Amino acid sequence: MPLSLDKASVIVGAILGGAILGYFLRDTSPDASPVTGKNPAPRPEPAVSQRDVRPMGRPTFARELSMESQERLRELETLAASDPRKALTKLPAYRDTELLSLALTALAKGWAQTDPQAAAQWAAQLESAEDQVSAALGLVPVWATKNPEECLAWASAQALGNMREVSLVELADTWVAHEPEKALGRFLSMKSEDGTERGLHAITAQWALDDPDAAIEHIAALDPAGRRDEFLETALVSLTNQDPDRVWSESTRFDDPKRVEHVRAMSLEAMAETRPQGALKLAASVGNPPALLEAVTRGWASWDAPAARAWIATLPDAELAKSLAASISGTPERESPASQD
Amino acid sequence: MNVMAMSFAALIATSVAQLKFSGIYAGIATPKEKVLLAVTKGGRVLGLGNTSTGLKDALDPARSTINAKGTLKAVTGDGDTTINATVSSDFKLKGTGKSGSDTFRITASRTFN
Repeated sequence: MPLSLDKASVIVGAILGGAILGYFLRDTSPDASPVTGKNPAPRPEPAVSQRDVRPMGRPTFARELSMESQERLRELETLAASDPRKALTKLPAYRDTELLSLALTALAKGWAQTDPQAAAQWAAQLESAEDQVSAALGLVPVWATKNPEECLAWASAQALGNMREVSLVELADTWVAHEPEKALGRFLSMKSEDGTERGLHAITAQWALDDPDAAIEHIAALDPAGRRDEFLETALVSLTNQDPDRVWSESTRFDDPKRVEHVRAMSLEAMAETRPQGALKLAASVGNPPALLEAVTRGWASWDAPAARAWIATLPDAELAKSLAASISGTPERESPASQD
Repeated sequence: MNVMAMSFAALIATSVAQLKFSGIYAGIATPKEKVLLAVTKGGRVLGLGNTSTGLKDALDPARSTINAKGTLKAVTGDGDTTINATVSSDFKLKGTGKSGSDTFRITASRTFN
């Protein structure tokens, strides 16, 4: 049976995708070393650690793990919670397999349930930054849920590097779900580094989604001479997908007119994805600034470009129409959500 | 079922949860730049090349992660741009990116798993 064009496209796409992935996922690490559970002679950390930008070795991707593999990981995690030393003896079996990173995560996660300090000590002694990050992904969410301050103290005491950065980000992401005000305060009080900056992004973006009222009020009350406007913008832009109307109404909290317009544009872009006419009305209510009309057409065109272009064609201002048409040319189109207008 | 057994049951329920988010996500970063991300089952996030001004550098997979809740936190190699997004159960990715103090929206859908 001949392949349809669609099927052929899928196959060609899959081959091309595989080639691209192969490039990014190739294992080029010269010193890939086995996981031994403990490294008896840890390498001294450089004063400022180098970025480890090696592609991940053998990631599991684009195909399902077997049920057997999933069961092995579950068993490892459970064993780590009850008998971590015995769980460590299982790790060599994962060496040179696609499950290694998942096994490290599972082991750390299980161990953290009963003894996060010991699990953290083990994670920090893993030989490669890649393995440390895998362990941190299991360790930190569990530990931060139980005792965020203790977890923060540990993360902050680690050498600069990927594990410290990822741990701080995971900590922020976990902490904000339970104590957002405290999490924000603690991260704001820390010396700026990649992990704290990314953590602040995670906190301000997620808090706005979890509890918009509290997040907006609290962040808006930060010192205007500090980073109040930056974090408020992050919170509001994060909220655009969930509640663009709310974001529109909160946009006047900024003194800087550029920030007001940017937040309004983000709000209208999100709104226009489902309610283009409502977005147009709001843009009209403030005099139809071109930046806002661009945002509306951008959101609208992302799922219904013909309708957006048809609207542009009705505009009496030829220059504006030309500019808006140019702004959506080549806009990637998404799946069409149900229009609510 | 005792308390320990209950906690193990909860553990088992989430132990491999991050696996389900793996795949390729295609979408848009404001204002209209294409974004192509790969999420591995090991919980890493890779940028597969894009033209976004905010994401001009490939994401650093060693520092870009997704956890069992589906929260994706990614960063470019130079550290200038960060992404914080959530993947929902229907494999829609929504969130924000930051370049310096500027924030932009990012939305994408899983196109290949």
